[in-house]
This record gives sequence, C-alpha cells and structure tokens, in this order.
Amino acid sequence: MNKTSKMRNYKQKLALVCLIILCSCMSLKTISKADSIYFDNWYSNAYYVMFWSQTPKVFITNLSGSINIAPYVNEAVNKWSNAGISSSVTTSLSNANIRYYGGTRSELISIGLYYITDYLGLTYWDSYSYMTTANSYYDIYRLNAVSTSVCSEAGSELYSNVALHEYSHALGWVGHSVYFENDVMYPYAVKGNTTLTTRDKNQLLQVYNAMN
Amino acid sequence: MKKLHIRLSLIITSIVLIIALGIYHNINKNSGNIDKRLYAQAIRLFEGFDNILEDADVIATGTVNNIVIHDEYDEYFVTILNTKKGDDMEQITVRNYLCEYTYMDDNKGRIGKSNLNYEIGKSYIFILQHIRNVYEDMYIIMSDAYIPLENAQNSTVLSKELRDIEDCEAYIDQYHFKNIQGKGIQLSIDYIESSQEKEIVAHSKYIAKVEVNELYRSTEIVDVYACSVVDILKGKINAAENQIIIPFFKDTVEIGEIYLVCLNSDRDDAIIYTLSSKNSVFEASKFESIKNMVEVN
Repeated sequence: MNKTSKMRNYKQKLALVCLIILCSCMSLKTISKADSIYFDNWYSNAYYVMFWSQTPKVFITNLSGSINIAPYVNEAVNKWSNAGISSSVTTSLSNANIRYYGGTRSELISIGLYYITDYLGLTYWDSYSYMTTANSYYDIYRLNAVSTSVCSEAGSELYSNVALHEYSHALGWVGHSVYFENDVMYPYAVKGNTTLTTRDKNQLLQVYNAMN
Repeated sequence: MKKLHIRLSLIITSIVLIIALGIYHNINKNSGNIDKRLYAQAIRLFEGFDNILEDADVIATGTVNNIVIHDEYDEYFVTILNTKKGDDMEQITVRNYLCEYTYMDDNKGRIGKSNLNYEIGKSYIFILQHIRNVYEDMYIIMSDAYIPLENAQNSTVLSKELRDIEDCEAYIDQYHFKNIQGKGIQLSIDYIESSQEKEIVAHSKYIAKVEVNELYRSTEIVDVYACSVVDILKGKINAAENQIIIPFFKDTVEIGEIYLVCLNSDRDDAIIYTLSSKNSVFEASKFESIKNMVEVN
C-alpha cells in the first residue's frame, strides 16, 4: 500500500469517527435534556404532562342549537393567551388541532365522545406522541390532536367554568388541582371558578417553558 | 501504526456502544409506553347513590367470564346471575371507559379514576347505562360503580368507598325504584334495524344527497365528516353554511364523493345527523328510485 492510499484510508476513517461522534452527541443531548427537567410548581394529581409544540388552533362546533359554546371557548382562549400560552380560533377545520364540540349528550356520544348521564364536560387525547421520561415522576407527551366538549345538560351557569376547565385539559393540563378550591382545575364548584389562578397558570407554563 | 489502529478501533467500539445504549434506553422507554393508555378527562355530576340507581337502565349481579382491553375502555363479558332492574338477560357485554374525573360531593371537590380492578371469575353488582344509536348498542358502567360481591368492603362509587351502605345487594333489593326505566333512552338516538329500502325511507326523518367534504374525527366505529347538502328529498335540514355533520361507519365513504343518505337527528335544530339505519347510505344514482319511494309515502 503506498503512502497516498494510506492517507486516504485514514481520512475516511477520521470522517466516519467524526460522523459517529456527532450522532452520539445529538442522541445523548436529547436524552439528557429531558432527563434534567424537573417541575417545581406541581398542583396536579397526575404524573404525566402534555404540551403543544406549535401554537394550537381551535375549531368550534355547535352540534345543535342546544348550546352555543363559541363565546365560552373564545373566553378560554383569551384567558390562556393572556396567561402566556397562546392559541387561536380557526374557521378552517383542516387547520385545527383542537376540535371543541358543544351539543346534547346523545349528539356527543354519536361522534364517539362517550358521555354517560353524569358527565358535564369531556376531553379526549385523540393523538399524541410519547417523548421520554423527564425524570422518575413525569412522562411527557406531545399533543397532535385533541377533542374536547361541553354538553348542554351542564346548564348555562356552568358553561363558562366547564368550557375553561376542558380547554385547559386540551392545552395539556392533565389531571386536576386537588387542594385549592379557587382553581379552575379544582373539581367544579356550584357556580364554578372562571378565573385562572397562579397555580392553574404555573402548572401549564412550567411545562411549556421546559419543553418549547 | 499498529497502535493507531488499536486506538481507532477502541474509539469506534466505544462510540458504537454509547449509541447502542442510547437506542436501548429509548426503546425501553417507548416500549414501556405501548401498554400505557391515557385516560379521558371529565367533569361529572354526583347527586347521591340513590340517583345513580334511579338513572340506571340495568342493575344486575354477574360473573366476569372474559376481559378485552381496548384503547379507550375495558370490555367485560358477563354472565348474569340476578337482575335487579331492567330486562332479564343471560349474558351481557359491559364497557368500562377510562376516565380521570372530578365531581362535587358534600360541597367538597373530589377526584377519581376509572376502577379497572375487575377480575375474570369474580362476581360484581353492575349498575349500567344502556345507550343505543345506529352505530353502537352498549352497556356502560355508571358513576364508576365498582361493587364486588366478595370483599364488599372494597366497593367504590366515583372512587369513594361506599361506607354508608354495608350490604349493597340487600340495599338494592329493598330499594323502591321511582323510575322503572333509566336515563339511557335520553342518551340514545332513534334508528331502524332493516335492510329494506322502503322501510328505511319511511323511518327516516331526513333524506338528502350530500357531498363528503372534511373529516372531523375518527373512532374505532365511525368517521365523522362535514358534508355539504346538494339536494334534499325529505325533511327540513338545518345546514350551517350549507354544511351538516354526519358520522359514517368507518371506511364506508370517501371525501369528494356524493351519496344519498337517510338520516335522523336528536333535535330539530341539530346540524349533526345520524344514519337512520345501518343500511342508510346509497350511491347518488339511487336518487330517482328513492325519490319515488318518498313521493309514494
């Protein structure tokens, strides 16, 4: 083997080594980033978190005249946008990530949202991707599509609370606030809470800040 | 030169090992997720155990023979031992939907999660809602009521122990139902079991020619589409911007195609219409023959 061909051989090997080092660094970075995440403000009873990696768009549908959820959903979108988590209402179904439905329980059941007699609001994670385990406590999922809803039987006094509560789920707020009665994510009160508390906001903000 | 070869080989081997470990690490985490089902989130209403009994369509004791796991629910195949409310049946299939929920009880907020501790060979009291529409006929566990016949002390309703009632079966046996029929009928939408076109046409509140436009959502059973109304043969259809919503059985229609559909709805002001039977979707070429049937009726 002459000197030139030996040099070419080493250059090839060196390029290969560099490529492998680059790949392994990227792979390790992904793992270590998630593993280093820890959430200080945890108010939920759930031990997994969800988030949107892009600004979600909401498409609102009233399945009948039994309820008009549009004002309540718009209100929820604005409240969360003011809190620092942006989303917007879209009039294009195909562009929507979150589909927000209002209707009677029987109408909602017919589209596969399984309301039983005692349900007032319901959110389904239609599509999501498992990211990785952030640490020993939390699993992280990236949301791809969500269906959320309020049934007309909830009654107009509760629409605002239920709509905001379910929308918070749709943005990734998993589980419920267990101890603080003023939280929107606390089990609903008779007239319902309609103002996002610092705890409501921080629970979700810490996830978005860490993941986006 | 030989030393350089060895060094290079060592570096490459160690890098390959690191990558392999990383891949193994990720695969392990992801495979752990395969069996993990995420629960729907819900707000529920609790108005006491007696109300649950009143709203139920079927209350029966039964033994679980088999359990099938679905994405959104567990399905129990049950042999009925004794019916307390509703029609007598020998076998029943029961769904237990996965749900994390909140509700108020005694002015206190509570949380819970569907109790999936049912076991094959064990017997339970089942408190069920019977919901029927053209797409599904299902018995669903109400208020997350988990009442084993053995170890009755483990009984829970909405994840809360049933402390006030010592013997649940005796309580139900002595209970005087005000509502003989439960509330399942309110959650159901009318349809007809028929393959006869004439019967289907007669039983349908609405018949229309529609173009399938966009997909709203898909489930195991249905694809829900936004459709534009091309022509109406029967009934007054409410179309928001000429569009209505129709759940079709999964993979039975295509976007951009025109179909003749026989429909029903829960309310007159609905923009969602359900199929009036399992055989209510026709090719557009059937328009004239169906039109004749409508005119005869």
